[in-house]
Amino acid sequence: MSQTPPNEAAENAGRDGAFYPKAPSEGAAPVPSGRARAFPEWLRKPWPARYDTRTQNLLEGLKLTTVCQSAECPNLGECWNRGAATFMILGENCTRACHFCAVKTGKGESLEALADEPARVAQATKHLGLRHVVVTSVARDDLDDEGAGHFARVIETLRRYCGPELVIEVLVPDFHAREDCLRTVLAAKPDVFNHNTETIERLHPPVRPQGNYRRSLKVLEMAKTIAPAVATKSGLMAGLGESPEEVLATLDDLRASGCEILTIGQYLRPSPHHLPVAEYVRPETFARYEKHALALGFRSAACGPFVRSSYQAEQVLARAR
Amino acid sequence: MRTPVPVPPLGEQKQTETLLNFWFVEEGQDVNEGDDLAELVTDKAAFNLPAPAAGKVVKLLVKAGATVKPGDVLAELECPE
Repeated sequence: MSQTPPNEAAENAGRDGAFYPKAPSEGAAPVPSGRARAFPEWLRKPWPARYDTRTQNLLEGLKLTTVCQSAECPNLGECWNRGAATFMILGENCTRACHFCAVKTGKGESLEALADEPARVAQATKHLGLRHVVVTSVARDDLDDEGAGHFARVIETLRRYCGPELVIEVLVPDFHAREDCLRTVLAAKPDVFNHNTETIERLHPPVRPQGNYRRSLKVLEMAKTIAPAVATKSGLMAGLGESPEEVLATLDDLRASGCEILTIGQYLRPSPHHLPVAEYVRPETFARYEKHALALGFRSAACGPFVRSSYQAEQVLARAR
Repeated sequence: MRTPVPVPPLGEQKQTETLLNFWFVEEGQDVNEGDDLAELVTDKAAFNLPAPAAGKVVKLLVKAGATVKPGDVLAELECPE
C-alpha cells in the first residue's frame, strides 16, 4: 500500500533564498523556509518491512564508523538491510568543516589508536560477504601524510584478508593534490579511486570553504596519470543553488580531468545548522544529467534524488565495465 | 501475539528530531505485512513506516505531530501466532 500524504506545505511554502543568488531550475520543487518538514513525493523512502539488524550489530561490535551513520544517510535502511555499508576510516572527527556535511569537526584520533582499524574493516567486509567495499575517510590535514598511509594499510589488509576478487573502492579527501599522498594510496592498488567535487566551482566557497574546485579536478587528473588502470569516479550534490548549465559545465571539466564514473544526488540538509536546500531537483532533471554524462563519455553515471557517491557502487561500476 | 512497532534507526545519528507526521491507519484496522502505517520525517527525507507483519492495529501509542526517537514504540499490532 502506498498513499499520498498531505503535502500542501511543500507546495505552498516560500523558498529559503537568502543564501543563494540564483533562481532554481525550471520545475524544481520549492523548499519550505526554516526546518524542512515536508518533502516532494520523490524524496519519500519506504523503510524495509523486515529490517535486519545483523549489519548494525556487526558494525557496532567491531566499533567501526560508517559514513552511513555519520552523514545520516537516508539510504541506511535499504543498504544495511542487504548488508552493504561504507566504512569511514581515520576516526570520527574531520579536520575540515564543510557546510553541507554532518560529520563532526574536531581533533583527529591518533594513528596509534587506529592501529587495528584496517583489520576491523577487513573482518567486517568478510563477515558481511561484500564483493565490493567502499572505504572513505574524514579529512586529516593534521597528519603528515594526511592519512594516505592509513588508506593504503586498509586496502592492503582488505586484499590480504578478503582475496584478490574483492573490488575495493576508495573515496578520498583531496590530500591538497599532493602527489606523494596519491601515489601512496594508488600503490596499494584500489580498483576505484573516487574523489568528490561535491559542487560547482561558483559554490565552493560557501559549500566547501577548505576545498578547491580546481584542486579536486587536479586530484582526479593526477590519479588517472599515476594509475591509468584504476577507474576514477566523482560525485556532485544538486540543489545547492547551481543552474543546470553550471552542472553541465562541471561534467565537461570532470571528463577533461579523466573522470570516468559520475554520481549526482540531491543535497539534503542534515540539520538547521547546515546550508539550506535551495531546491529539490526533479527526477527528470537528474535523468537529463545522467543522459548528458553518458553522451560526454562517462563510462557510468548514476543521477537521482537519493543517489550518494557510494550508493549501489557495485552496480554503478558494473555498468562501467 | 502483540507485536510492537518501534521507530527504526532511519539514518539519523542525533536521533532527536524525527517527526511522526501522520498515521495512514486507525485503531482496529487490519493490515498486511508491508502496508504503510505512518509517515516519519527526518531532516533529510520522509519515510513510510511499514507493518512488520500482518495483523490488526490495536493501539496507536503516539499522536501525529509528536517528535519521536529510534526505539520508541509507536503502535501495537495483534498478529496471528
